[in-house]
Amino acid sequence: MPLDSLTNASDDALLVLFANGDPKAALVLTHRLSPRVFAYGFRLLGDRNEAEDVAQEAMLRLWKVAPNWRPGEAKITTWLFRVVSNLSIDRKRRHHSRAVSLDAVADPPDGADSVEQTLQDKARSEALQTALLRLPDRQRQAVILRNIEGLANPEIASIMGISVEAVESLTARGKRALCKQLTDKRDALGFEDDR
Amino acid sequence: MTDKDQVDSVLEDFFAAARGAAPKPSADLSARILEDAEIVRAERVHPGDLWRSKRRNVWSEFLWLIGGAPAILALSTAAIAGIWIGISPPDYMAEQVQSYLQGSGYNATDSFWAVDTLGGFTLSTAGG
Repeated sequence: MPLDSLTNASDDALLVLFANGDPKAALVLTHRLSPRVFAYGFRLLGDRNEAEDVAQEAMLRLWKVAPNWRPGEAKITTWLFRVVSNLSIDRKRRHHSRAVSLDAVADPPDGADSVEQTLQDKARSEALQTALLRLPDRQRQAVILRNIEGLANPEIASIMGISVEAVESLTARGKRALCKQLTDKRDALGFEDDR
Repeated sequence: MTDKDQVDSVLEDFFAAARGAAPKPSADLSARILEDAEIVRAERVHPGDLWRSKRRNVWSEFLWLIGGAPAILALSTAAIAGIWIGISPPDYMAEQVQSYLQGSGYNATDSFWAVDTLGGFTLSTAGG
């Protein structure tokens, strides 16, 4: 199947094509899913190399599960987020958390934003990442999925294997803890200039 | 303004900045993921290759168990020497064998079909 026609195909359809031996389906799925998988792993772990290892492992599991995948039963992204969550929590239990370096947060894509705005966004993103890494694992996971990845609470509940009420509780507590950490940094990060 | 609203107003700009500056994977990661995909796909599409590689592994395992290539060399040398001696025995070997057989009271002209392979085992003991 031509590559152009694959770019519009659903994740499920691409995984079925891959299971049937189409290598181009893997190419499209990799470009579509690996940035999100990596970004989520990075926000959980705060380490670029570890996040890349987790993303690679999660995608490998996806390739292996492809022949048994039942389209329509679960979203591939939901499944991947669950795998990344489990792998990341396992790694965090094995290693001490590490401080995030400025270089680890990638520059946003070139656009109309001024250099000053770009740097400010990067500094804010880094401050948030540092604060996120101080949260308990489950709170961090829930806040990232809800407020950065933009997932709905039922989907987060499915990823984390808990009830929707528990997700709401975790995000509320996580956000209060983040607020406490970040309120003092608002002036230094140029929030007053935005008003 | 409720406590929840206040928290949201403080954090929203941070979340927006994080969404706009998502960390990006290296090009190397895509290459590694695609390499994995190709290995999994190839094993599925050409299972024979996997079977052959497993067979190679069994052969390697056998080699390791008997002592590797030196052991194979020694076994081959012994086998070739045995065949060579069987086909073309040296003169002194025939004499040695003959003297041994005579010493044991065995007539070399006897046929081997007459040899009692159950010496000392009589019909009375077999009958219980």
